[in-house]
Amino acid sequence: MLETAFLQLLQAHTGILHKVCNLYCRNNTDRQDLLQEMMLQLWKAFPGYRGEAKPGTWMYRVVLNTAITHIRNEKKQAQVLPLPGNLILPEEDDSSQFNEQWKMLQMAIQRLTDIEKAMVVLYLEKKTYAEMEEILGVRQGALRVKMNRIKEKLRQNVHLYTH
Amino acid sequence: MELDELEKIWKQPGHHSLLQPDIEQALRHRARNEVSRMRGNLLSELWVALVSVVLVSVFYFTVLNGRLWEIGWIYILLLLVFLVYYFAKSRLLKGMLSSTGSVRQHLETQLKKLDTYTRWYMLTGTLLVPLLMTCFYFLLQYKNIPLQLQGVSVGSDSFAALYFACTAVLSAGSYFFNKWNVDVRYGKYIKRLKLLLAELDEP
Repeated sequence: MLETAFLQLLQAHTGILHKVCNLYCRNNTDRQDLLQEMMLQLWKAFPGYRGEAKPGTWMYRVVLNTAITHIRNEKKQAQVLPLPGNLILPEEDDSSQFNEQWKMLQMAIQRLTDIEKAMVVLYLEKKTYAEMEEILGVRQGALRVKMNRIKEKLRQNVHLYTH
Repeated sequence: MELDELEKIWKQPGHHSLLQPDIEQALRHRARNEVSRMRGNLLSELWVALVSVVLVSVFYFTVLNGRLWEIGWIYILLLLVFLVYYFAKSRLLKGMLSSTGSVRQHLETQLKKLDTYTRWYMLTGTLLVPLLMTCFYFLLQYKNIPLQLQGVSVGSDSFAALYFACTAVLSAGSYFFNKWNVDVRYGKYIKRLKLLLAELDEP
């Protein structure tokens, strides 16, 4: 029963787990490690989930907490942006244009700090400021200011990559 | 390119699938985070303490025809204290594992518990040497062991002065060693947690 519910939750949010792994890690080994770690932490936390927060909020908390405090192999991070084989990309990536765009997005976000990455993930997932406050523990007023700054940084990073 | 376009790219569906065997395999793998690494370190310390105490105790129970058996028992007592210390620290680390709170709560809890953890580490590690040495001193007096330090025999004032001077040097060494050890083992992670929290707090 518990296992079935857990599998359903994981399968419903597989995409976001992969995306977060991509943004926080720059090599495939680290991505695989982080993905496994996220699943493990979700599994450990799952029996204690009593529905105080929405399942999505609860899941984002565990996933982002795990990503931010995960041990990454710094040495291997020298290889910037190799796109992983089995983990990541979309099916319709026959168009190299999409592939290129995805790389650019990934590159632009990877230049941000770990906290900024978390905010961008929530922003791109269209979370409201109230939900972001619940997940990050930062007041909405401060979040708005930070988000404006991060969007500007992101624009600059995209500009850097496209020009 | 504007941010709206980034949102569109982000929303593109992908072939992200997780098969049950992949999930089962992931759940079998050992956790790879800082706290798990610290728990691993703590367990190694327990093994080192167990093996050392057993060896040292056996030595004191047998050396000089068993005349120093009390020291063997002191070490065993010390091991029991270490076990209490181990479980207290293990519980503290377990408390750091919970990741269901907000990012801020998670980081603050980790930092607070890690701070308590390293304080305990410093306190016990530093007090151990002077306490043991003082204990041994009174035992040497009581048992009247014919020990000499630089030609000075047990019982004389010169011996006491020399003995406690050595104790002070060893204690200072132990303090600096523990400080260095705490910094090497936990310093980087504490610094990282502080930086992350400062970033969350900055206006």
